[in-house]
Amino acid sequence: MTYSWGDKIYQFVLAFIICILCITMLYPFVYELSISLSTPAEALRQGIHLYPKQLSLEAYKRALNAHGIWYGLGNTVFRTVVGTLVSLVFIALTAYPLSKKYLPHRMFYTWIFIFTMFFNGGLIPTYLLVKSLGLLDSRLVYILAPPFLISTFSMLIMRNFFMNIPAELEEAAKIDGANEFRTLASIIIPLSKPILATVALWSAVNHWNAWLDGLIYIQSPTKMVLQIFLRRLIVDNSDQDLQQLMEQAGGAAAVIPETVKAATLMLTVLPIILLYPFLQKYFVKGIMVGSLKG
Amino acid sequence: MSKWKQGFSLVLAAVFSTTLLGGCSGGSKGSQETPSSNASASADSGAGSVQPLTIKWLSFNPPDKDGNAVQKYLENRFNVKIENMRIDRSNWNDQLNIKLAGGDVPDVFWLWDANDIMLYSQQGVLAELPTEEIKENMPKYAETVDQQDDKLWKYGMIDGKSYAIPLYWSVGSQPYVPGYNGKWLKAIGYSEPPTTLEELEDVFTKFTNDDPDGDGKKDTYGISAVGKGAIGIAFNAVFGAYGTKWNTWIKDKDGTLVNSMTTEPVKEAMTTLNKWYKKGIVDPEFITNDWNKYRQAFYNGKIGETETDWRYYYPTGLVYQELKKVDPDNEIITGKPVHGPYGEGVAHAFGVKNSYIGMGAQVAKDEKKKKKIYEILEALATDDEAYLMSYYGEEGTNYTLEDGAVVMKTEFAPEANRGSYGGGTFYGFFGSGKSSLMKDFDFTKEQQDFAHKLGDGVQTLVDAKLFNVPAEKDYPDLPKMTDEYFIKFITGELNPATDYDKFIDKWKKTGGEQITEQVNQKYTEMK
Amino acid sequence: MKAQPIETPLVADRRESETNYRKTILKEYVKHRYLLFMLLPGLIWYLIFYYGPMYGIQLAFKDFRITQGIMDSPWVGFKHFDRMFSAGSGFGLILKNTFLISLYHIVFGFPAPILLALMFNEIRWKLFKRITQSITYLPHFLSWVVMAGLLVTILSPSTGIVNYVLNLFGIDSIYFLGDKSYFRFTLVLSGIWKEIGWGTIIYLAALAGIDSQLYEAAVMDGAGRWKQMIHITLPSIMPVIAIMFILRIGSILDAGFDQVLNLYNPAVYEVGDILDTYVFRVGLTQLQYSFTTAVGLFKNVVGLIMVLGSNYLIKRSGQEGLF
Repeated sequence: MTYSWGDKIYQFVLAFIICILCITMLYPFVYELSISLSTPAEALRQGIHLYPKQLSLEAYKRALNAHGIWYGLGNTVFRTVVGTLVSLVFIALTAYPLSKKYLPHRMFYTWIFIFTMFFNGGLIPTYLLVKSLGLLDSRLVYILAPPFLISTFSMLIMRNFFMNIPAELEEAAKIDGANEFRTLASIIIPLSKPILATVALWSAVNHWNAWLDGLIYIQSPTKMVLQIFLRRLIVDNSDQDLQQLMEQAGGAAAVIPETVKAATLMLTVLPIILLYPFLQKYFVKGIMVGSLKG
Repeated sequence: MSKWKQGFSLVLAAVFSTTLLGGCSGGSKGSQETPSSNASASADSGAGSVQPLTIKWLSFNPPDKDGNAVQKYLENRFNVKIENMRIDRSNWNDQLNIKLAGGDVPDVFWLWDANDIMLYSQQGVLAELPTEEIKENMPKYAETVDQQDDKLWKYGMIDGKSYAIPLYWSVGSQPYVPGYNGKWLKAIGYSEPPTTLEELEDVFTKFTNDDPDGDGKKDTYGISAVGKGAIGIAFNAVFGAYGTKWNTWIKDKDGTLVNSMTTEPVKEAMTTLNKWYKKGIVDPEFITNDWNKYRQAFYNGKIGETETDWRYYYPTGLVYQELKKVDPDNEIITGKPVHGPYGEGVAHAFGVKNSYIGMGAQVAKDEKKKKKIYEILEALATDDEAYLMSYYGEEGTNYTLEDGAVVMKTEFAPEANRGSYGGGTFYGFFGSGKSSLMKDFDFTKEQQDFAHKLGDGVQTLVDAKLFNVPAEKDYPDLPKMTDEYFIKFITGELNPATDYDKFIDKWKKTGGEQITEQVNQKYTEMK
Repeated sequence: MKAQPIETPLVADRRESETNYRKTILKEYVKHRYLLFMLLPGLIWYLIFYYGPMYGIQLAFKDFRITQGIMDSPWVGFKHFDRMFSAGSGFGLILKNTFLISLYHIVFGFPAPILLALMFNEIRWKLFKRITQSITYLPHFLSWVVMAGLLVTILSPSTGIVNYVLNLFGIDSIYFLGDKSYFRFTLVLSGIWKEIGWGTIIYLAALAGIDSQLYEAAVMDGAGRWKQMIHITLPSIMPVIAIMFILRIGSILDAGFDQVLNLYNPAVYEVGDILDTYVFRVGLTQLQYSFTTAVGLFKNVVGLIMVLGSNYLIKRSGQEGLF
């Protein structure tokens, strides 16, 4: 199919705008990557950092040797993989019935869920509940505690996606005698790959970045997640208290250098960035093609 | 069809059962690894019992693992079992509140400041620890406290009652002195740092206009500050020249305490700063500086003067190292506070007041535990072996002694790295300057000499109000207002000549007056 | 013989219709029992984990005493709300800032990812699309702690690259983060920049679900790109836009705490101080757990009203709403 000149210019302009946007978005990462690979002196230098003029892997060595990185990673991978899968199942199971207009008392049930988006008991009652359920210091709390198992937001979005699937596709299955479970599994789910991928991505990223629930519910260091350890490298360094508490024997050595902070940042972000390309295939157009013909 | 139904039910069942099973086993696992709070052996059967006491320990920078070297040492030496409570610095209050609400009250209770004492004592989770009792049970440590500042006992008192053991910090008595870019000073023709306010202005003007870094661009300034978060000690060089400090409580002629902002010297200092800002010798971007950017401005050659305490100027110190890395043949010339219209200049110092160690309310009912905790704390502060072990670790493994002073092995120099064996501030409350008996371990002779030289003849100004008063709770956003006005007077948005008095009026009306009253009440009580 | 209430015909009718109603409902439940089985796990989880702790809301009307627990803490009525609204605290200004900043975020920030998603949708070169999409997600992963440091450097009037470029065009340097007139603008723009890429994901998912046969038919009818966009693309993703909007507007009093906290400074308090930063500062000086709960409740009630309002309007316009 040949494209007109107008069309080609249009494509070019769009691509150009996107390119500019991407360059601005790349710069912080190039900067941090460069710092993470710099010697301390090079990192302090003023100006643009596009690549390290003096290379050093010291920062990565230090970051990777920081206490807890490896079992933190294990815990994080556990919660991201298992948590996302379990979430997907629960969210889909909840969204589907709510998407059916013929669900008895549908409005009532929907309200039960929506209400929780606005009225929340707070951290302390939730903690007491978790404690009474015996989930304190258990890795399961990463999967079960709110807001992780079912994100109301994701669930409602998925519900609306389900609502927009043409009813005819379901009718066909129902006429064949399929019950709701069958319909959900064999018709709805395959048609909903984009939204499932989206919810999975959201859930995975939330799990990957989570740190507060670990601090509150978990006591054993071996069960804490990666972000808790990494945050200590990045966050603790910026307040004035440090100035007063800074221990003299360490002097400069006691302060976490920018290079290590940058390396930590890279370690935090890269794995999840690598996840996206695997999910990209679910965002392909034209899933619906042929569905009506069959 | 039924295959799908079965499939689904299986998935559901699997998910549910793992949930329930996990919940149960998680719970029991949990209670094995961290004994519940009820397991404390306070059911000690009296004298002669060898049951170790369980002590719930809350401090900061927790060790990586339980059962670490330092913990074991303490447990063996004092016949106790220590339960480590872990709370991250970044979210301290939130996490602590949650634990307290859940009934998890620590026995050894780290308290950041007197405000914490007020909050937690009002909530009823702190045991009362009368000063006499502390002096009786920790005699040697108490003596050092008296030597540092006998008011330390009183700062943290709430309604006349004492709830915690005061910590001091010897470095806190050391002044913040100005440090100048050595090359720049020479370039503008000064062989010595400035000693008067006029000279200071001249130095800053030349730093700005005479291109001291010789790069042909007008990209340099005299002075900057940390606008984001440290306005209280911003531009000390100027305030100090007038013998004062911003928003600090000082004694009036008749002995009452007033806030320095209400006095003439501060107004004049502000006027001067306003003038200098207009002249362009003050870095206008001080407003968005955090500590990192402030130090960066100095070592990257944007400003010519910085201010900090001796530890940073010492060769192993941060400011020294940073400059050396970027500009190896430069050096920092430290000066003393300059003299101004009111005579000798003063330097800022934080004062020796530091944090507190309290005990959970339940300890008040457990005489044995209380005595045990006192015993441990006294040893940590005054017994060489306990002190060294808890803060530094094992000689040979973690550090070596050179000339009596501790030199950490490089991999353990950062405090964060001591978590692997439990060293650092978690058990070692008194580490690094918090027990004057140990100063020869903490600081080498060179360092002590360096500090003395730097502070020799320097008059320090320490805030007289090192305590909190209830009125501050009613006007919690007063600091925000003073910060705002500070910036506005300097940048010229407001004119100090005409608007300063209005500002003071407003300050008085929105809490300043009440706070002043209560401050003086407490101050009289403390005498 | 026991006296029996006289059953008038009307009462009898009502009784009968009630029983009929109950019978009908029961029939419906049985008929759709599979749906309800599906709903059950999630429902139970919500009941346990959200409704279980819900009693904590009463803290907004109490003074929290840790040792007494939530139930036994003393009631103080609207004391916290009074404090919030009292003139001395400058609450009016804070509320105005919160509302304005949030409004800007919604007005400019809500459509931005949609536009970008549509742009991506138009690009035909697949590899370019995949790479650039991934790049646009990157800023979402930077915390504001890190971002703030970078922004101060980039926006510096003396050494920042943005002002360097502005100077090339003859524009004087602007102190974006230190100047009251530019602070909100900087907040909103940097906020959009950070989240625009990540925000496209949901819309890309919606776009992926559009039947390409519709486009083929339109092309055969002679419709150009623009007509296709207006008549096929936009209407197809309208449902998603609608629900995303309703959900977004529920956080109307959320002006971006993390961002503001890391970027603001005393020079811009007047325009940048928001509800959450105020609570944060106040909370630092005291254990204001109840106060925080009260402010949270206030924010949520306002949010709920906005959701109800926008839901109503959107349903009027023919779209599926939240409920």
